[in-house]
Amino acid sequence: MGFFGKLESKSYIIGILKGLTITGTHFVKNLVGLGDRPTIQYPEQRRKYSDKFMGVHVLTKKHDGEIACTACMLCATNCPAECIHIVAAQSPNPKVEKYPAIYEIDLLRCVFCGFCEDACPVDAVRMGRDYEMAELSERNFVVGIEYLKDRPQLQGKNISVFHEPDKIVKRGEKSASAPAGSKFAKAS
Amino acid sequence: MAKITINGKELTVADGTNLVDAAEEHGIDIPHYCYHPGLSIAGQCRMCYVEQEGNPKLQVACNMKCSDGLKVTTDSARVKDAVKWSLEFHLVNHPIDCPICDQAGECGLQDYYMKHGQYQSEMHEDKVHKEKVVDLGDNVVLDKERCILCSRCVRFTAEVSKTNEFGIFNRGDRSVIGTVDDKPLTGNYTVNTVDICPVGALTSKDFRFEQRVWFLDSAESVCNGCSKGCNVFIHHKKGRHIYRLKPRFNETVNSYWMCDKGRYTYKDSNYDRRLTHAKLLGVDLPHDEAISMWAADLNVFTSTERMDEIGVYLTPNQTNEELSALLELFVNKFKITKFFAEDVEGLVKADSAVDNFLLRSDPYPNSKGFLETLKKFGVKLGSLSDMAQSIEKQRLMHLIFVVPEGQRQITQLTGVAEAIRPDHFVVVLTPNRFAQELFASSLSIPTLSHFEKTGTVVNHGGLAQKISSNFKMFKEAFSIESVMKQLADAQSSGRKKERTGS
Ligand code: SF4
Ligand code: SF4
Ligand code: SF4
Ligand code: SF4
Ligand code: FES
Repeated sequence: MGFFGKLESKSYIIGILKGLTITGTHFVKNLVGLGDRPTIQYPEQRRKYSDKFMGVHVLTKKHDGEIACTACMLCATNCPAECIHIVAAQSPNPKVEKYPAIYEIDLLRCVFCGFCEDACPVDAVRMGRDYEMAELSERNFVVGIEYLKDRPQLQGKNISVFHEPDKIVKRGEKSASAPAGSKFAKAS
Repeated sequence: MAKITINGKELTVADGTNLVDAAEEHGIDIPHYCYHPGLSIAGQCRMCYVEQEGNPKLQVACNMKCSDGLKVTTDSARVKDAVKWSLEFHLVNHPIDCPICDQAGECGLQDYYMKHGQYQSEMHEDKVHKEKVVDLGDNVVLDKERCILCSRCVRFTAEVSKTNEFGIFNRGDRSVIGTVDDKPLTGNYTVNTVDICPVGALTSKDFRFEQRVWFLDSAESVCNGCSKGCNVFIHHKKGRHIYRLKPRFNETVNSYWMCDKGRYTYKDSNYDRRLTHAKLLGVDLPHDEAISMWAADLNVFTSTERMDEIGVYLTPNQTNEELSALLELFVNKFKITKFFAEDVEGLVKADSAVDNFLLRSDPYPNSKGFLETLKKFGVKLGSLSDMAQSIEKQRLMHLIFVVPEGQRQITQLTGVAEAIRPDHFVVVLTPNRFAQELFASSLSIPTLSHFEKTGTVVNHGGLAQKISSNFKMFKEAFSIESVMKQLADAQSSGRKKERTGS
């Protein structure tokens, strides 16, 4: 070990100088706009997130605007944070048996793991893409059906795949996708 | 005793035991839907196939009685295959709407599919649809699609409740279960059909959509609807809310059944009907304060030898242990002599089965134990009209009411409550919010409801049954035993203070 090596290991000054050089270089680079900047001018500038990003949940809808959820509580069962609260009831719509009278997610407890989405048998709950959450009170982070299905950010795109008209065969109707005469078509 | 061999293992079982039960006793599971030990044999579902030595065809185990030398196999490839295809047949027209089905989680189809099925369905035909959400009266909802036609409910109404309501109509894949013209079920035993239905075809209206069964915990107790003392399971969620009662098998009392009236007694234990805080004049106060206030007033009477001005109202809803704790303190220590109750002896004398089955006319679960414990302490009971008169004439000034949950005592005590004047000191020990409302000026102390209690109750036949539920729904509600202990402590420390003058 030479003289400088000894000095380096003995004194912290050189370490500090090295660190400052790195900080300083970045400072100057960013100041004059050389190279890539790791920071962006949020909120004017936004990053593009992956399509797999898991943000605030979405409750999907059927074509008549009703939510697709059947209140089976599988999402609540699967949720590790126990933050989904559902109260099931008899639906006012005579064609539907069970529906959630209350469906609430406590977004502050949620860990955005997506287990609820995995558990749902009817594609009724999905992880959305929005991640910007700011509220004045904790209570406002407990979001209900109205917010989860109809918030403006969704632009009405949350139709459950189980309820797209050409994918589901309703009772007493011919399947739209099965060719006539096929054994999949309902014999009437 | 018979020596039989199942899967090569030699077992000794009682002669004539049903093979399904015998196997279950020894931890061997033979799948079955239509067999129920409390009903006759139907051989309807063909799930219980076993291979019997010396018999070329597969046999149904539910129709086999054990006798010496019986040799069967339940796990051969042939049996497994047969069970698998039986199950597929049951699922051919089944809607599989488990997400909205209350049976999910305790469903025979789900359980056996995970154990014996797990195949891709080979059916390409559309399912035959049948009626859903058929209203069968106040207690039961029928979904004809989900039925697997095991005929358990048919046999129950034919053999046990004798109401003969259910039947299977039509033939082949159009067969449906139902009552004639979908008439509502009658009688007091309808929800038993829900218990025995192995799938979600019959579901309980009361429990409908209330909770998924996998969230429920179970505790053992005895029903408090009448003097029969049917054994029950309490299904509650984390001890905070009771969702339903289910019958628990007891050969000598209720077998596999219970009545609908008893089934709904749990409702009195839940929040909306409970007193959850000690109250004075309807205003909450801390539990300790309530106890010391009571002890202070009792001290006024005991120190001036006015014990005959104290009156106590009791009911046979209390367990033997609770009564002993109460009487130990009131009779042996405080020397109280005036006890009042409804005419329990009369009730016991007139006690009979109301409908020739389970439900009895005596509405108390512990009348026999009550009378016996009272006798042990030499307590004589006065009637309620006596009590009302003594109160009116100011002969009773300190009144203690031990009121259970339910409405019966509330109507019974209205006369007594009307006689009470502001200078009476009234203490109500109760889990019942309506009792507090009835005695609005009282000091009310919350106690445990029947389904949280631990103790002994004696049924109409003199059978002492232990209850121990091991859960407590409200922090401030204590058992009568511990309230008595707290009172005794508070009372003696109060007297000490008096004597030392501090
Ligand atoms: S994302 Fe995970 S934590 Fe959040 S609600 Fe769904 S299951 Fe629960
Ligand atoms: S969102 Fe899906 S999993 Fe959750 S209750 Fe509704 S249907 Fe069931
Ligand atoms: S009866 Fe069983 S299998 Fe059928 S829908 Fe209900 S839970 Fe699912
Ligand atoms: S309703 Fe239930 S008990 Fe009755 S036959 Fe159908 S599956 Fe069996
Ligand atoms: S249980 Fe044996 S045939 Fe149904």
